[in-house]
Amino acid sequence: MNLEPIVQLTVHNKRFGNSLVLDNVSFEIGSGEIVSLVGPSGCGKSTLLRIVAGLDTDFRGRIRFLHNGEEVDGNVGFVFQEPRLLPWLTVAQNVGFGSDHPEADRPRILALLEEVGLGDAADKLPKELSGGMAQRAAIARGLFAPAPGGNAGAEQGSAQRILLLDEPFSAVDAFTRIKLQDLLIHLARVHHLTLLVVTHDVDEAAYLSDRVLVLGSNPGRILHANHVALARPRDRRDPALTQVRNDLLEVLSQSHAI
Amino acid sequence: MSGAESLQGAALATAGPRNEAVASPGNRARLWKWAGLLLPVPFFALLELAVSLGWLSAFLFPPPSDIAQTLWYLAQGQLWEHLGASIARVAAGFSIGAVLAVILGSLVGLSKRTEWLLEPTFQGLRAIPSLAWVPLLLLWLGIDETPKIVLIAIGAFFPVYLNLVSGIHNVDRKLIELGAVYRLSRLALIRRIVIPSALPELFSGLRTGLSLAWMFVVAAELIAASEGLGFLLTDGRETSRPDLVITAILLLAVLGKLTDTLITRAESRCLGWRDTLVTQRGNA
Repeated sequence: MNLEPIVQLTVHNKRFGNSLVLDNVSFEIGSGEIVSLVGPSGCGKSTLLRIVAGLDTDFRGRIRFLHNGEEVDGNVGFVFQEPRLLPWLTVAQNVGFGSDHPEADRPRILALLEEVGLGDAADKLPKELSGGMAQRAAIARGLFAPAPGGNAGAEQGSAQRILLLDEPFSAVDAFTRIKLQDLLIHLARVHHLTLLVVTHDVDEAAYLSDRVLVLGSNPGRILHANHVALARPRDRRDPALTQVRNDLLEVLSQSHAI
Repeated sequence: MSGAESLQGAALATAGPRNEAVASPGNRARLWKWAGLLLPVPFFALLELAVSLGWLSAFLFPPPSDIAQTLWYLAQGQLWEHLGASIARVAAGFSIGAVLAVILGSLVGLSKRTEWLLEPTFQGLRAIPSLAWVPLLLLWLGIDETPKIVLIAIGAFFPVYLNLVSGIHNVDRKLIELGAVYRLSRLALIRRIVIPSALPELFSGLRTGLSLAWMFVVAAELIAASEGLGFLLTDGRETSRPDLVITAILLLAVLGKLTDTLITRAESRCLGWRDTLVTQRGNA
């Protein structure tokens, strides 16, 4: 797949104190691509995600966001493992948290909520939501990109939205997880999103991704990149998908990761 | 109400009052609440009986009927003056103490530097029992309103200050990280995440501060005052009138409860978003 790269990440190394967490990890993500990072706990996959999000700047290397070949500011949304909604804001206020003009953006926020199946919950408080609903709201919040402001942005065209997800469905039940995975794929297609998903679930990685990066631990490094060239919508029972999953497990077990 | 009972009450609160199926346990919860409100009544009845039968001396244990009479008598005249004086002192002292505590607490909670600078001093000042200030306040400020209000302000200051600082320090690191994802400026982070997170602890500080303000208004008025509920207490002791003392005590209880209710009202309005046992019970 030859997609125009919109993220270029190079990490020469990343340390926590004396321990080397990431060693020479580099990859690009193409426009509209769905990439997942799998690996045992402690392989630094969440750290990588935090580096892309700009939450961690203490590493040797660089992260670049590109738009039509020009370097731009990242336009990044983040979905955490738990919904992490602000409990004192309504669902709509949470989704529009990044907005400078929540009133003006309200129609856009409501439309997003409608899309994630929370059309009725806009004015509810987080405590009134179930776990799955709260995570839907968190996805809508991650999707909501503030309208590009400033002339520079308008001239260049704004950078594409990249959604970073850190084990987003590990805290919900299996049935909800399947529905949320399908929702995510749907949203990615409709909004032409680029996704970077950290997961420990090999099935999830295979089902969601265009490309799966398998990381090993001590120190974290990329062991293997697996392109999943299956058309969407994918069938979870497709033997080809099972094959992908088995390949991934094979790589992981060879590295004594599991 | 036992712990198990209140948990049950919380579970019921979510079920909704119109649901017929839970009407009976709901009634039982109401019964317990009424029983709680009426608990002092048999005690007063017993006291009245004991005095009228001569088991207790009416001179030392004024029966509730005497107290009601005293209250009625006071209400014809000087009661309002005393109430007004105490309320005005508490209002002034508490406001000054709480406002200063919010300003200084925010400075210390939000900035490491001001924390390093001010915390040791505040720790030291906090260790001084507030009543120890009384002689100094009297020497410096005389015996009129100012030293009373200053004493109340000192009393109200520390609980508000301490709770606010701990509320700010206890803000969930994960929510701060969310702010970082949105590249919030320091000021926006404070306004949009830190302050709302710290509000519950600020409110509990305000409640404690208010109850201390009532405590110190009594202390101040016991020492030197010509009006106020504390003066009524002294007056009752000096004229050997326990009915006056008890009336003043009851009035303090009522005022304390009323002002506390004002704060809890404001609290439940501001903090309805909390997903806790207490807010669930509050909704019942």
